[in-house]
Amino acid sequence: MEEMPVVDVQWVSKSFGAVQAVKDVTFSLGPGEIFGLLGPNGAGKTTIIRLVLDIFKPDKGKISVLGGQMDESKLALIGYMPEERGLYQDVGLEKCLVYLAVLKGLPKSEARGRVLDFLERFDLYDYREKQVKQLSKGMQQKAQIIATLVHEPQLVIVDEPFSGLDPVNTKMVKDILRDLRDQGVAIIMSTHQMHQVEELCDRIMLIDEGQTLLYGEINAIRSQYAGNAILVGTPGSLPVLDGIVTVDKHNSAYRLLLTKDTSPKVVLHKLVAENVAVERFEIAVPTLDEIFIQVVQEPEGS
Amino acid sequence: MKNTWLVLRQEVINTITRRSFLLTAFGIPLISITIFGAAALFNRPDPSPIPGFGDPGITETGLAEGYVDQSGLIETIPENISAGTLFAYQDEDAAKNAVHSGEISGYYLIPEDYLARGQLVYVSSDFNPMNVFDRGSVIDQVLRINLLDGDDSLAALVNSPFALQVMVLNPSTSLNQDSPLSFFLPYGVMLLYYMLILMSAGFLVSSLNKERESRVLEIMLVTVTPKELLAGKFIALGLMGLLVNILWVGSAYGLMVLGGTTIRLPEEFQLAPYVLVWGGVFFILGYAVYASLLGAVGAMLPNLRETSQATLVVIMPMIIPLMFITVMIAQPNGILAIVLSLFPLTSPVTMMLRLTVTLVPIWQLLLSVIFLILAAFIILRGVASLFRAQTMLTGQPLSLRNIYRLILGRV
Repeated sequence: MEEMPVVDVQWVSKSFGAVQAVKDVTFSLGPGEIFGLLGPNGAGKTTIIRLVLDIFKPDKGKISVLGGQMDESKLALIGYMPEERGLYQDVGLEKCLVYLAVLKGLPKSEARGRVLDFLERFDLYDYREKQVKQLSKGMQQKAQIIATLVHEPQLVIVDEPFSGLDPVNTKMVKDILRDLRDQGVAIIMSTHQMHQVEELCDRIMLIDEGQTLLYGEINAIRSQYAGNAILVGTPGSLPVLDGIVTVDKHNSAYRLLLTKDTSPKVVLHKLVAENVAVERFEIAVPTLDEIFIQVVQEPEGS
Repeated sequence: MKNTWLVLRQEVINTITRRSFLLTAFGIPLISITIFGAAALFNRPDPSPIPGFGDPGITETGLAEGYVDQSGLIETIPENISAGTLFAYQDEDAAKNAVHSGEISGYYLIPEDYLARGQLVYVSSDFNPMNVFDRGSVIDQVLRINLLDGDDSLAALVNSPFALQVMVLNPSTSLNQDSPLSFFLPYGVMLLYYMLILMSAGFLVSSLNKERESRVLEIMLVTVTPKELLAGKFIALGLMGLLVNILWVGSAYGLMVLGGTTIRLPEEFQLAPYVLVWGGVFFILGYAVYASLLGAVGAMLPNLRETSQATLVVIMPMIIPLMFITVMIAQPNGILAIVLSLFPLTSPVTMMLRLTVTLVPIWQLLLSVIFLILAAFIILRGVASLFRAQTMLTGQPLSLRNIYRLILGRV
């Protein structure tokens, strides 16, 4: 039997006045999955997140969260870290986090215990008495992650979770997200850092101007966009060939971006015909960065 | 309910530990007590009563004076004028010598034609602007008594022809009718209600704006419901406004006691217990109406600057009773006072004003409360639509169109 999705968004649209922020967006997310929500600035990612959280009401379409319509009983089952971070600035760090955890339904003693554990884990224990405004941006970011996760939510929504973090803390947060996924938590991650998406996400949705441009498993999407580039290894230089858009040095090989009507086989034939000593010839799988740029910059209708 | 309580508690803790709140609540009374206390100490009145006509006795003021009577009018010096206060001189030369030697600070020359022209001349060694208003009280009494052939009791009556005692057939208030302080009490109560309602509502608006500007609001809106958040804030900040006002009134009372050698506050400022009970009712309902309206402004507008501008528009109805306060004190049961004490946006302060000066018929009190409850219900219901996450997060610019939509509850 198919698992019930934790989040199920069906043909949702939302406008603000004359601006269509989200148009006919559909996606779903199951337990134990990290879902990447990608798109350029202003694409509508935050609006989609707010629609899922019932902060905004959709103009049309249907959204189901944790098995039904969003209501106040589900607030405690969700951990949300918005793009615009916010904590009570004039309050001590520990007090602020305990307050938010208690509001999420934890008994005070348990909330305090969990907060202190997290503070130790994130190297913030010594700063627990400090006012939030006295902490560095990176520390506040870690505090925000603690506030998002401390109540062990079933659905985690994080917007740019790695911004402001050093490599050590970035790795720690990634490990935590992987652990949560392994425990069955559903995670929606919105970010511009494509390498993090490639590393963590199972599936992605790329949106622009409120519309879905790409949606599916990362590997399937990369395969879908593969074939347009090849990697050629040769000790010498490459001759000028027809059907090549760009030639870039890529480690010890050349990366050739082909025009749409040029196949790798044709290029190989041409190289052999030109007596090029080919030591390596393989299809270059595009990075998400490349796919992102290609899809977002592609003229409409192409 | 649990979350409302948690928000309430946190809001109280956040507020009372904020430096600006502590300065407002405790700093202002402390500074006032220090300034007025110091002033009271420096300006402590002379233990001897100020000389005045009809006083049981006149003692020296510390500034001995003289007179030269060329008219021959002065035959009697009242017994209550202390020795060493007023000296008689035969001629101006003798008086001038006394001034030069420092024996007296100055002298009055009563010319021959005094009875025809009523003019005196005062001669002093130098000009002291502070003495201008005090001068003449002793010679005034001396002249009056001598004009009345030395009849003390007649002179007292001329000075103060009657002592009015007001008898009210239907006592309408427990205020001491004879006390001049009774006149100031309505002003004080009205001012207190302005402060009480506006300060509490102001705390709420500021808290909502601060939460939005510090971006905690989005976190809170996926943690508690908007109504839980606002209910917690609503109650907590109402209590905080009440606390500040209690502290201020308490310190004002302390100030009165500190400098109050002549003011016996408790006796004359006693309000009947029923006034205090109605005061509580009108505070709660007035706060409900104005906090809802200002809360709507705080929820709708994007920043504190625009909120402050809109706040002025919203509190405008509360200014109306202040404009007519003199008329309403003079005619507390007049049409204007009755209308303003029934209209929900003006009734909280107007009714308190009336309660301090007159006996308000019970039907008017009940009608006013019913109107206020109805208004609070309608406004709260309209404003509740604003307390949605989307409005609170996105904010709406201040424009005539939005004010119109706010009034209609269509934002």
